[in-house]
Amino acid sequence: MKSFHSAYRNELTKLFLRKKYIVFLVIGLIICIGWAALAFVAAGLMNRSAGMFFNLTPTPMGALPIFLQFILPLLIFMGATDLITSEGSDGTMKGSIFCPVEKWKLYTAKIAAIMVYVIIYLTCIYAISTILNQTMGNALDAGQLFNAFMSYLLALPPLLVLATFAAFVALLVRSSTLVMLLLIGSYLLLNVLPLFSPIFSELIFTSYLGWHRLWVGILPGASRLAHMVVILLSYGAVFYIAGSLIFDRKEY
Amino acid sequence: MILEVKNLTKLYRNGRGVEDISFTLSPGDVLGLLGPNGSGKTTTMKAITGLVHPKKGDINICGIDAIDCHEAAMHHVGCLIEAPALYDYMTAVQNLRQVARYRKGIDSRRIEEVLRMVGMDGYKRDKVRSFSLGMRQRTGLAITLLAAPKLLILDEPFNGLDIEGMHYVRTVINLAAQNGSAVLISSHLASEVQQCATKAAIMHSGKLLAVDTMDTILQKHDNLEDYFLKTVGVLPSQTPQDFKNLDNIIGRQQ
Repeated sequence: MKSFHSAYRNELTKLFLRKKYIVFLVIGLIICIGWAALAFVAAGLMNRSAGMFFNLTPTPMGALPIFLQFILPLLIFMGATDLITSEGSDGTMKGSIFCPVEKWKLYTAKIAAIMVYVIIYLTCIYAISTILNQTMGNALDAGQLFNAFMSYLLALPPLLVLATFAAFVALLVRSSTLVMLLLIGSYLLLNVLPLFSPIFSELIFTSYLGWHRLWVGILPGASRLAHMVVILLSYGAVFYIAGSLIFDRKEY
Repeated sequence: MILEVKNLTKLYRNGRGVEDISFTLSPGDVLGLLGPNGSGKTTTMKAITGLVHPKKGDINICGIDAIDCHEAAMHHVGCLIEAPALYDYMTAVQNLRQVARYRKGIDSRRIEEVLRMVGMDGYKRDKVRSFSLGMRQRTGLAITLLAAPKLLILDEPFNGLDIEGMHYVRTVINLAAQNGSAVLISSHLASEVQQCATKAAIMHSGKLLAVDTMDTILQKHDNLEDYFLKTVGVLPSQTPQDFKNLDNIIGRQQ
Protein backbone atom coordinates (compact mmCIF):
# COMPACT_ATOMS: atom_id res chain seq x y z
CA MET A 1 0.00 0.00 0.00
CA LYS A 2 2.92 2.35 0.73
CA SER A 3 4.18 2.00 -2.83
CA PHE A 4 0.73 2.84 -4.20
CA HIS A 5 0.48 5.86 -1.92
CA SER A 6 3.93 7.07 -3.00
CA ALA A 7 3.05 6.59 -6.65
CA TYR A 8 -0.24 8.44 -6.23
CA ARG A 9 1.49 11.37 -4.48
CA ASN A 10 4.08 11.53 -7.24
CA GLU A 11 1.43 11.58 -9.95
CA LEU A 12 -0.58 14.27 -8.18
CA THR A 13 2.58 16.36 -7.73
CA LYS A 14 3.23 16.07 -11.46
CA LEU A 15 -0.22 17.48 -12.21
CA PHE A 16 0.04 20.39 -9.78
CA LEU A 17 3.55 21.34 -10.89
CA ARG A 18 2.28 21.94 -14.42
CA LYS A 19 0.92 25.43 -14.73
CA LYS A 20 -1.86 24.52 -17.13
CA TYR A 21 -3.77 22.61 -14.45
CA ILE A 22 -3.71 25.61 -12.15
CA VAL A 23 -4.74 27.86 -15.07
CA PHE A 24 -7.70 25.55 -15.75
CA LEU A 25 -8.71 25.78 -12.11
CA VAL A 26 -8.62 29.59 -12.31
CA ILE A 27 -10.68 29.46 -15.52
CA GLY A 28 -13.23 27.33 -13.67
CA LEU A 29 -13.48 29.87 -10.90
CA ILE A 30 -13.91 32.69 -13.46
CA ILE A 31 -16.73 30.74 -15.11
CA CYS A 32 -18.40 30.40 -11.70
CA ILE A 33 -18.12 34.12 -11.03
CA GLY A 34 -19.41 34.92 -14.52
CA TRP A 35 -22.29 32.51 -14.13
CA ALA A 36 -23.22 33.93 -10.74
CA ALA A 37 -23.11 37.47 -12.16
CA LEU A 38 -25.33 36.41 -15.07
CA ALA A 39 -27.80 34.75 -12.70
CA PHE A 40 -27.80 37.91 -10.58
CA VAL A 41 -28.52 40.16 -13.59
CA ALA A 42 -31.19 37.76 -14.87
CA ALA A 43 -32.90 37.72 -11.48
CA GLY A 44 -32.90 41.55 -11.48
CA LEU A 45 -34.45 41.67 -14.96
CA MET A 46 -37.16 39.25 -13.93
CA ASN A 47 -38.04 41.34 -10.92
CA ARG A 48 -38.34 44.50 -13.00
CA SER A 49 -40.33 43.30 -15.95
CA ALA A 50 -42.61 40.43 -15.27
CA GLY A 51 -43.29 38.15 -18.05
CA MET A 52 -39.99 37.83 -19.92
CA PHE A 53 -37.50 35.64 -19.22
CA PHE A 54 -34.62 33.90 -18.94
CA ASN A 55 -34.39 32.23 -15.66
CA LEU A 56 -30.90 30.96 -14.97
CA THR A 57 -30.61 28.18 -12.43
CA PRO A 58 -28.75 29.60 -9.50
CA THR A 59 -25.23 28.40 -8.91
CA PRO A 60 -23.76 25.93 -7.87
CA MET A 61 -26.13 23.68 -9.85
CA GLY A 62 -26.38 26.03 -12.83
CA ALA A 63 -22.78 25.88 -13.95
CA LEU A 64 -22.25 22.17 -13.22
CA PRO A 65 -23.30 20.88 -16.69
CA ILE A 66 -20.69 23.13 -18.36
CA PHE A 67 -17.98 21.56 -16.23
CA LEU A 68 -19.28 18.02 -16.61
CA GLN A 69 -19.77 18.13 -20.36
CA PHE A 70 -16.80 20.21 -21.47
CA ILE A 71 -14.16 21.29 -18.99
CA LEU A 72 -13.71 18.22 -16.81
CA PRO A 73 -13.60 15.77 -19.75
CA LEU A 74 -10.94 17.96 -21.34
CA LEU A 75 -8.95 18.01 -18.09
CA ILE A 76 -9.23 14.24 -17.75
CA PHE A 77 -7.99 13.80 -21.32
CA MET A 78 -5.09 16.15 -20.68
CA GLY A 79 -4.22 14.36 -17.44
CA ALA A 80 -4.22 10.93 -19.10
CA THR A 81 -2.14 12.23 -22.00
CA ASP A 82 0.42 13.92 -19.74
CA LEU A 83 0.76 11.10 -17.21
CA ILE A 84 0.71 8.19 -19.63
CA THR A 85 1.42 8.99 -23.29
CA SER A 86 3.84 11.90 -22.80
CA GLU A 87 5.78 10.05 -20.12
CA GLY A 88 6.16 7.11 -22.47
CA SER A 89 7.35 9.25 -25.36
CA ASP A 90 9.71 11.54 -23.42
CA GLY A 91 11.32 8.65 -21.53
CA THR A 92 10.24 9.66 -18.01
CA MET A 93 8.03 6.58 -17.60
CA LYS A 94 11.26 4.59 -17.17
CA GLY A 95 11.98 6.51 -13.98
CA SER A 96 8.66 5.40 -12.49
CA ILE A 97 9.18 1.78 -13.53
CA PHE A 98 12.63 1.73 -11.90
CA CYS A 99 10.95 2.57 -8.61
CA PRO A 100 9.83 -0.23 -6.29
CA VAL A 101 6.21 -0.32 -7.36
CA GLU A 102 4.22 -2.87 -9.32
CA LYS A 103 3.07 -1.65 -12.70
CA TRP A 104 -0.63 -2.08 -11.98
CA LYS A 105 -0.26 0.08 -8.88
CA LEU A 106 1.50 2.75 -10.92
CA TYR A 107 -1.27 2.69 -13.52
CA THR A 108 -3.96 2.85 -10.82
CA ALA A 109 -2.10 5.72 -9.14
CA LYS A 110 -2.19 7.69 -12.39
CA ILE A 111 -5.97 7.31 -12.67
CA ALA A 112 -6.35 8.06 -8.95
CA ALA A 113 -4.30 11.27 -9.27
CA ILE A 114 -6.46 12.44 -12.19
CA MET A 115 -9.59 11.75 -10.13
CA VAL A 116 -8.22 13.52 -7.05
CA TYR A 117 -7.50 16.54 -9.24
CA VAL A 118 -11.10 16.35 -10.52
CA ILE A 119 -12.40 16.14 -6.91
CA ILE A 120 -10.30 19.16 -5.89
CA TYR A 121 -11.56 21.01 -8.95
CA LEU A 122 -15.22 20.22 -8.21
CA THR A 123 -14.75 21.12 -4.53
CA CYS A 124 -13.35 24.54 -5.47
CA ILE A 125 -16.19 25.10 -7.94
CA TYR A 126 -18.81 24.04 -5.39
CA ALA A 127 -17.29 26.22 -2.65
CA ILE A 128 -16.91 29.38 -4.74
CA SER A 129 -20.28 29.07 -6.44
CA THR A 130 -22.05 28.43 -3.11
CA ILE A 131 -20.36 31.44 -1.48
CA LEU A 132 -21.24 33.65 -4.45
CA ASN A 133 -24.78 32.36 -4.50
CA GLN A 134 -25.36 32.93 -0.81
CA THR A 135 -23.84 36.41 -0.82
CA MET A 136 -25.54 37.71 -3.96
CA GLY A 137 -29.01 37.62 -2.51
CA ASN A 138 -30.09 34.34 -4.07
CA ALA A 139 -29.55 32.19 -1.02
CA LEU A 140 -30.39 28.50 -1.15
CA ASP A 141 -31.78 26.72 1.90
CA ALA A 142 -30.02 23.81 3.58
CA GLY A 143 -31.96 21.22 1.57
CA GLN A 144 -31.06 22.82 -1.76
CA LEU A 145 -27.43 23.08 -0.72
CA PHE A 146 -27.42 19.41 0.24
CA ASN A 147 -28.97 18.49 -3.11
CA ALA A 148 -26.30 20.52 -4.88
CA PHE A 149 -23.60 18.80 -2.84
CA MET A 150 -25.05 15.39 -3.71
CA SER A 151 -25.08 16.36 -7.40
CA TYR A 152 -21.37 17.13 -7.26
CA LEU A 153 -20.71 13.87 -5.45
CA LEU A 154 -22.78 11.84 -7.90
CA ALA A 155 -20.99 13.44 -10.83
CA LEU A 156 -17.83 11.55 -9.82
CA PRO A 157 -18.62 7.92 -10.85
CA PRO A 158 -19.21 8.73 -14.55
CA LEU A 159 -16.09 10.92 -14.52
CA LEU A 160 -14.12 8.00 -13.07
CA VAL A 161 -15.30 5.80 -15.94
CA LEU A 162 -14.28 8.54 -18.37
CA ALA A 163 -10.83 8.63 -16.70
CA THR A 164 -10.39 4.85 -17.13
CA PHE A 165 -11.39 5.25 -20.79
CA ALA A 166 -8.91 8.11 -21.28
CA ALA A 167 -6.10 6.16 -19.57
CA PHE A 168 -6.83 3.14 -21.76
CA VAL A 169 -6.75 5.19 -24.99
CA ALA A 170 -3.60 7.01 -23.81
CA LEU A 171 -1.78 3.65 -23.80
CA LEU A 172 -2.63 2.84 -27.39
CA VAL A 173 -0.71 5.60 -29.17
CA ARG A 174 2.78 7.05 -28.71
CA SER A 175 2.05 10.61 -29.81
CA SER A 176 0.49 12.97 -27.25
CA THR A 177 -1.11 15.11 -29.94
CA LEU A 178 -2.68 12.09 -31.60
CA VAL A 179 -4.01 10.81 -28.27
CA MET A 180 -5.64 14.17 -27.51
CA LEU A 181 -7.22 14.20 -30.97
CA LEU A 182 -8.39 10.61 -30.55
CA LEU A 183 -9.88 11.30 -27.13
CA ILE A 184 -11.65 14.50 -28.16
CA GLY A 185 -12.84 12.92 -31.43
CA SER A 186 -14.19 9.81 -29.73
CA TYR A 187 -15.82 11.91 -27.00
CA LEU A 188 -17.60 14.04 -29.60
CA LEU A 189 -18.67 10.93 -31.48
CA LEU A 190 -20.00 9.29 -28.31
CA ASN A 191 -21.99 12.44 -27.57
CA VAL A 192 -23.40 12.67 -31.08
CA LEU A 193 -24.48 9.03 -31.40
CA PRO A 194 -27.49 9.34 -29.02
CA LEU A 195 -28.91 11.97 -31.37
CA PHE A 196 -29.34 9.28 -34.01
CA SER A 197 -30.93 6.65 -31.82
CA PRO A 198 -32.13 6.88 -28.18
CA ILE A 199 -30.79 3.38 -27.57
CA PHE A 200 -27.26 4.82 -27.55
CA SER A 201 -28.05 7.12 -24.65
CA GLU A 202 -28.74 3.99 -22.59
CA LEU A 203 -25.65 2.15 -23.74
CA ILE A 204 -22.93 4.78 -24.01
CA PHE A 205 -21.16 5.77 -20.80
CA THR A 206 -20.71 9.43 -21.75
CA SER A 207 -24.51 9.82 -21.63
CA TYR A 208 -24.29 9.29 -17.88
CA LEU A 209 -22.19 12.39 -17.22
CA GLY A 210 -25.38 14.24 -16.29
CA TRP A 211 -26.95 11.40 -14.33
CA HIS A 212 -26.80 13.34 -11.06
CA ARG A 213 -30.04 15.00 -12.19
CA LEU A 214 -31.80 11.64 -11.92
CA TRP A 215 -30.64 11.04 -8.37
CA VAL A 216 -31.46 14.40 -6.86
CA GLY A 217 -34.79 14.88 -8.63
CA ILE A 218 -37.61 12.37 -8.76
CA LEU A 219 -35.89 9.01 -8.63
CA PRO A 220 -36.52 6.66 -11.55
CA GLY A 221 -37.43 3.05 -10.77
CA ALA A 222 -34.92 0.93 -8.83
CA SER A 223 -34.41 -1.41 -11.78
CA ARG A 224 -33.51 1.50 -14.09
CA LEU A 225 -31.04 2.87 -11.56
CA ALA A 226 -29.53 -0.59 -11.08
CA HIS A 227 -29.28 -0.95 -14.86
CA MET A 228 -27.40 2.34 -15.12
CA VAL A 229 -25.05 1.49 -12.26
CA VAL A 230 -24.27 -1.89 -13.83
CA ILE A 231 -23.55 -0.30 -17.22
CA LEU A 232 -21.21 2.27 -15.68
CA LEU A 233 -19.46 -0.37 -13.55
CA SER A 234 -19.02 -2.62 -16.56
CA TYR A 235 -17.49 0.10 -18.69
CA GLY A 236 -15.20 1.10 -15.83
CA ALA A 237 -14.10 -2.48 -15.19
CA VAL A 238 -13.47 -3.24 -18.86
CA PHE A 239 -11.41 -0.08 -19.47
CA TYR A 240 -9.46 -0.43 -16.21
CA ILE A 241 -8.62 -4.12 -16.63
CA ALA A 242 -7.74 -3.76 -20.31
CA GLY A 243 -5.60 -0.70 -19.52
CA SER A 244 -3.81 -2.42 -16.62
CA LEU A 245 -3.01 -5.45 -18.77
CA ILE A 246 -1.68 -3.34 -21.64
CA PHE A 247 0.37 -1.19 -19.26
CA ASP A 248 1.83 -4.30 -17.62
CA ARG A 249 2.90 -5.77 -20.96
CA LYS A 250 4.08 -2.49 -22.46
CA GLU A 251 7.82 -2.08 -22.92
CA TYR A 252 9.64 1.22 -22.50
CA MET B 1 24.95 -13.03 -4.74
CA ILE B 2 23.51 -9.64 -5.66
CA LEU B 3 22.59 -10.30 -9.27
CA GLU B 4 22.12 -13.59 -11.03
CA VAL B 5 21.13 -13.60 -14.69
CA LYS B 6 20.49 -17.05 -16.10
CA ASN B 7 19.83 -17.88 -19.77
CA LEU B 8 18.24 -14.50 -20.41
CA THR B 9 16.64 -14.27 -23.84
CA LYS B 10 14.79 -11.26 -25.18
CA LEU B 11 14.12 -10.96 -28.88
CA TYR B 12 12.42 -7.99 -30.52
CA ARG B 13 10.17 -8.26 -33.55
CA ASN B 14 13.09 -7.42 -35.85
CA GLY B 15 14.95 -10.46 -34.54
CA ARG B 16 17.46 -8.44 -32.53
CA GLY B 17 17.86 -8.59 -28.79
CA VAL B 18 19.84 -10.88 -26.52
CA GLU B 19 20.11 -14.64 -26.41
CA ASP B 20 21.04 -16.96 -23.60
CA ILE B 21 22.87 -14.41 -21.45
CA SER B 22 24.17 -15.61 -18.08
CA PHE B 23 26.36 -13.87 -15.52
CA THR B 24 26.50 -13.15 -11.81
CA LEU B 25 27.52 -10.21 -9.67
CA SER B 26 28.72 -10.48 -6.07
CA PRO B 27 29.18 -7.66 -3.54
CA GLY B 28 32.05 -5.40 -4.61
CA ASP B 29 31.94 -6.49 -8.25
CA VAL B 30 31.99 -3.88 -10.99
CA LEU B 31 31.10 -5.55 -14.29
CA GLY B 32 31.69 -3.52 -17.44
CA LEU B 33 29.62 -4.54 -20.45
CA LEU B 34 31.44 -3.75 -23.66
CA GLY B 35 30.04 -4.12 -27.12
CA PRO B 36 29.21 -2.24 -30.29
CA ASN B 37 25.86 -0.55 -30.88
CA GLY B 38 23.08 -3.12 -31.09
CA SER B 39 25.06 -5.79 -29.26
CA GLY B 40 22.40 -6.09 -26.53
CA LYS B 41 23.95 -4.21 -23.59
CA THR B 42 20.98 -1.93 -23.02
CA THR B 43 18.46 -4.71 -23.65
CA THR B 44 20.15 -6.79 -20.94
CA MET B 45 19.88 -3.88 -18.52
CA LYS B 46 16.28 -3.16 -19.52
CA ALA B 47 15.33 -6.80 -18.90
CA ILE B 48 16.92 -6.74 -15.45
CA THR B 49 14.99 -3.61 -14.50
CA GLY B 50 11.62 -4.67 -15.95
CA LEU B 51 11.51 -2.22 -18.85
CA VAL B 52 11.23 -5.12 -21.28
CA HIS B 53 9.87 -8.62 -20.74
CA PRO B 54 12.29 -11.50 -21.31
CA LYS B 55 11.13 -14.36 -23.50
CA LYS B 56 12.87 -16.77 -21.17
CA GLY B 57 15.44 -16.90 -18.44
CA ASP B 58 15.72 -16.00 -14.76
CA ILE B 59 16.79 -12.79 -13.09
CA ASN B 60 17.42 -12.78 -9.35
CA ILE B 61 18.29 -9.62 -7.44
CA CYS B 62 19.41 -10.26 -3.85
CA GLY B 63 17.66 -13.61 -4.04
CA ILE B 64 14.37 -12.11 -5.26
CA ASP B 65 12.87 -13.11 -8.60
CA ALA B 66 12.90 -9.75 -10.41
CA ILE B 67 10.47 -10.89 -13.09
CA ASP B 68 7.68 -12.03 -10.75
CA CYS B 69 8.41 -9.72 -7.78
CA HIS B 70 9.40 -6.48 -9.50
CA GLU B 71 8.49 -4.25 -6.54
CA ALA B 72 10.48 -6.20 -3.95
CA ALA B 73 13.49 -6.58 -6.25
CA MET B 74 13.64 -2.92 -7.24
CA HIS B 75 14.09 -1.89 -3.60
CA HIS B 76 17.71 -3.00 -4.05
CA VAL B 77 18.35 -1.36 -7.41
CA GLY B 78 19.37 2.07 -8.63
CA CYS B 79 19.45 2.56 -12.39
CA LEU B 80 20.39 4.99 -15.05
CA ILE B 81 19.47 3.57 -18.44
CA GLU B 82 19.80 5.58 -21.66
CA ALA B 83 18.95 9.24 -20.96
CA PRO B 84 18.14 10.10 -17.33
CA ALA B 85 14.39 9.99 -16.66
CA LEU B 86 13.94 13.58 -15.46
CA TYR B 87 10.88 15.82 -15.47
CA ASP B 88 11.83 19.08 -17.19
CA TYR B 89 9.25 21.15 -15.31
CA MET B 90 10.61 20.07 -11.91
CA THR B 91 13.74 21.18 -10.07
CA ALA B 92 16.57 18.76 -9.34
CA VAL B 93 15.33 18.35 -5.75
CA GLN B 94 11.73 17.73 -6.86
CA ASN B 95 12.96 15.06 -9.26
CA LEU B 96 14.86 13.32 -6.47
CA ARG B 97 11.86 13.58 -4.17
CA GLN B 98 9.82 11.58 -6.71
CA VAL B 99 12.11 8.63 -6.07
CA ALA B 100 12.59 9.32 -2.34
CA ARG B 101 8.85 8.87 -1.66
CA TYR B 102 9.17 5.15 -2.35
CA ARG B 103 11.96 4.60 0.14
CA LYS B 104 11.99 4.76 3.89
CA GLY B 105 14.36 7.11 5.66
CA ILE B 106 15.30 9.35 2.76
CA ASP B 107 14.96 12.92 3.93
CA SER B 108 15.99 16.31 2.54
CA ARG B 109 19.47 15.90 4.03
CA ARG B 110 20.09 12.72 2.07
CA ILE B 111 18.82 14.39 -1.12
CA GLU B 112 21.26 17.26 -0.63
CA GLU B 113 24.03 14.81 0.21
CA VAL B 114 23.71 12.90 -3.07
CA LEU B 115 23.41 16.12 -5.07
CA ARG B 116 26.62 17.29 -3.44
CA MET B 117 28.23 13.93 -4.20
CA VAL B 118 27.67 14.44 -7.94
CA GLY B 119 28.51 18.16 -7.87
CA MET B 120 24.95 19.39 -8.41
CA ASP B 121 24.26 21.02 -5.04
CA GLY B 122 24.62 24.47 -6.60
CA TYR B 123 21.72 23.78 -9.00
CA LYS B 124 19.31 21.96 -6.71
CA ARG B 125 16.54 24.60 -7.03
CA ASP B 126 16.95 25.04 -10.80
CA LYS B 127 14.46 23.57 -13.24
CA VAL B 128 15.83 20.58 -15.13
CA ARG B 129 14.84 22.15 -18.47
CA SER B 130 17.74 24.58 -18.03
CA PHE B 131 20.31 21.79 -17.48
CA SER B 132 23.00 20.77 -19.95
CA LEU B 133 23.42 17.12 -20.99
CA GLY B 134 26.17 16.65 -18.40
CA MET B 135 24.09 18.20 -15.61
CA ARG B 136 21.19 15.93 -16.48
CA GLN B 137 23.52 12.95 -16.37
CA ARG B 138 24.77 13.97 -12.93
CA THR B 139 21.22 14.49 -11.63
CA GLY B 140 20.29 11.07 -13.01
CA LEU B 141 23.29 9.62 -11.18
CA ALA B 142 22.15 11.33 -7.96
CA ILE B 143 18.73 9.65 -8.31
CA THR B 144 20.46 6.31 -8.82
CA LEU B 145 22.49 6.71 -5.65
CA LEU B 146 19.69 8.10 -3.50
CA ALA B 147 18.73 4.89 -1.72
CA ALA B 148 22.29 3.51 -1.50
CA PRO B 149 21.23 0.49 -3.60
CA LYS B 150 22.91 -2.90 -3.48
CA LEU B 151 22.87 -3.06 -7.27
CA LEU B 152 23.79 -0.08 -9.43
CA ILE B 153 22.95 -0.32 -13.13
CA LEU B 154 24.52 2.41 -15.25
CA ASP B 155 24.06 2.49 -19.00
CA GLU B 156 26.65 4.70 -20.68
CA PRO B 157 27.22 6.74 -17.50
CA PHE B 158 30.06 8.74 -19.06
CA ASN B 159 27.86 10.11 -21.86
CA GLY B 160 27.97 13.87 -22.13
CA LEU B 161 30.22 14.29 -19.11
CA ASP B 162 33.23 16.55 -18.89
CA ILE B 163 36.51 15.42 -17.30
CA GLU B 164 35.32 16.42 -13.84
CA GLY B 165 32.01 14.61 -14.39
CA MET B 166 33.79 11.44 -15.48
CA HIS B 167 35.91 11.65 -12.36
CA TYR B 168 32.74 11.92 -10.23
CA VAL B 169 31.24 8.85 -11.90
CA ARG B 170 34.41 6.79 -11.41
CA THR B 171 34.59 7.86 -7.77
CA VAL B 172 30.94 6.99 -7.20
CA ILE B 173 31.37 3.55 -8.81
CA ASN B 174 34.48 2.81 -6.74
CA LEU B 175 32.82 3.97 -3.51
CA ALA B 176 29.71 1.90 -4.20
CA ALA B 177 31.83 -1.20 -4.80
CA GLN B 178 33.90 -0.55 -1.66
CA ASN B 179 30.66 -0.30 0.32
CA GLY B 180 29.61 -3.77 -0.85
CA SER B 181 27.32 -2.87 -3.73
CA ALA B 182 27.59 -4.51 -7.13
CA VAL B 183 27.78 -2.32 -10.21
CA LEU B 184 26.82 -3.15 -13.78
CA ILE B 185 27.98 -0.56 -16.32
CA SER B 186 27.93 -0.42 -20.06
CA SER B 187 30.12 1.85 -22.10
CA HIS B 188 31.69 2.36 -25.48
CA LEU B 189 34.76 3.73 -23.72
CA ALA B 190 36.99 0.74 -22.99
CA SER B 191 39.50 2.97 -21.20
CA GLU B 192 36.87 4.20 -18.74
CA VAL B 193 35.63 0.68 -18.07
CA GLN B 194 39.20 -0.49 -17.58
CA GLN B 195 39.70 2.17 -14.91
CA CYS B 196 36.71 1.27 -12.78
CA ALA B 197 35.59 -2.31 -13.53
CA THR B 198 36.74 -5.45 -11.72
CA LYS B 199 35.24 -7.68 -14.44
CA ALA B 200 34.51 -7.17 -18.11
CA ALA B 201 31.99 -8.86 -20.38
CA ILE B 202 32.08 -8.66 -24.16
CA MET B 203 28.78 -8.65 -26.01
CA HIS B 204 28.26 -8.94 -29.74
CA SER B 205 25.11 -9.53 -31.81
CA GLY B 206 23.05 -10.26 -28.73
CA LYS B 207 25.42 -12.86 -27.34
CA LEU B 208 27.76 -12.77 -24.39
CA LEU B 209 31.11 -13.78 -25.88
CA ALA B 210 33.30 -13.64 -22.79
CA VAL B 211 33.38 -12.67 -19.13
CA ASP B 212 36.62 -12.35 -17.23
CA THR B 213 38.16 -10.52 -14.30
CA MET B 214 40.09 -7.38 -15.14
CA ASP B 215 43.27 -8.82 -13.56
CA THR B 216 43.15 -11.87 -15.83
CA ILE B 217 42.41 -9.74 -18.89
CA LEU B 218 45.30 -7.38 -18.25
CA GLN B 219 47.71 -10.29 -17.65
CA LYS B 220 47.03 -11.59 -21.16
CA HIS B 221 46.36 -8.38 -23.08
CA ASP B 222 47.78 -4.88 -23.38
CA ASN B 223 44.53 -3.29 -22.37
CA LEU B 224 40.77 -3.82 -22.41
CA GLU B 225 40.41 -2.48 -25.92
CA ASP B 226 42.88 -5.09 -27.18
CA TYR B 227 40.93 -7.82 -25.34
CA PHE B 228 37.67 -6.55 -26.83
CA LEU B 229 38.99 -6.41 -30.40
CA LYS B 230 40.49 -9.88 -30.17
CA THR B 231 37.34 -11.35 -28.63
CA VAL B 232 35.03 -9.99 -31.31
CA GLY B 233 37.49 -11.00 -34.01
CA VAL B 234 38.99 -7.69 -35.12
CA LEU B 235 42.73 -7.83 -34.55
CA PRO B 236 44.37 -4.45 -34.15
CA SER B 237 47.28 -5.60 -36.32
CA GLN B 238 44.88 -6.26 -39.19
CA THR B 239 43.15 -2.97 -38.95
CA PRO B 240 45.41 -0.93 -41.29
CA GLN B 241 45.08 -3.67 -43.91
CA ASP B 242 41.30 -3.70 -43.54
CA PHE B 243 41.15 0.01 -43.96
CA LYS B 244 43.81 0.32 -46.66
CA ASN B 245 41.41 2.30 -48.84
CA LEU B 246 40.69 4.79 -46.09
CA ASP B 247 43.06 7.34 -47.63
CA ASN B 248 40.97 7.37 -50.78
CA ILE B 249 37.73 7.62 -48.85
CA ILE B 250 38.74 10.61 -46.79
CA GLY B 251 40.72 12.22 -49.64
CA ARG B 252 44.35 12.19 -48.61
CA GLN B 253 46.15 15.52 -48.85
CA GLN B 254 49.53 15.29 -50.56
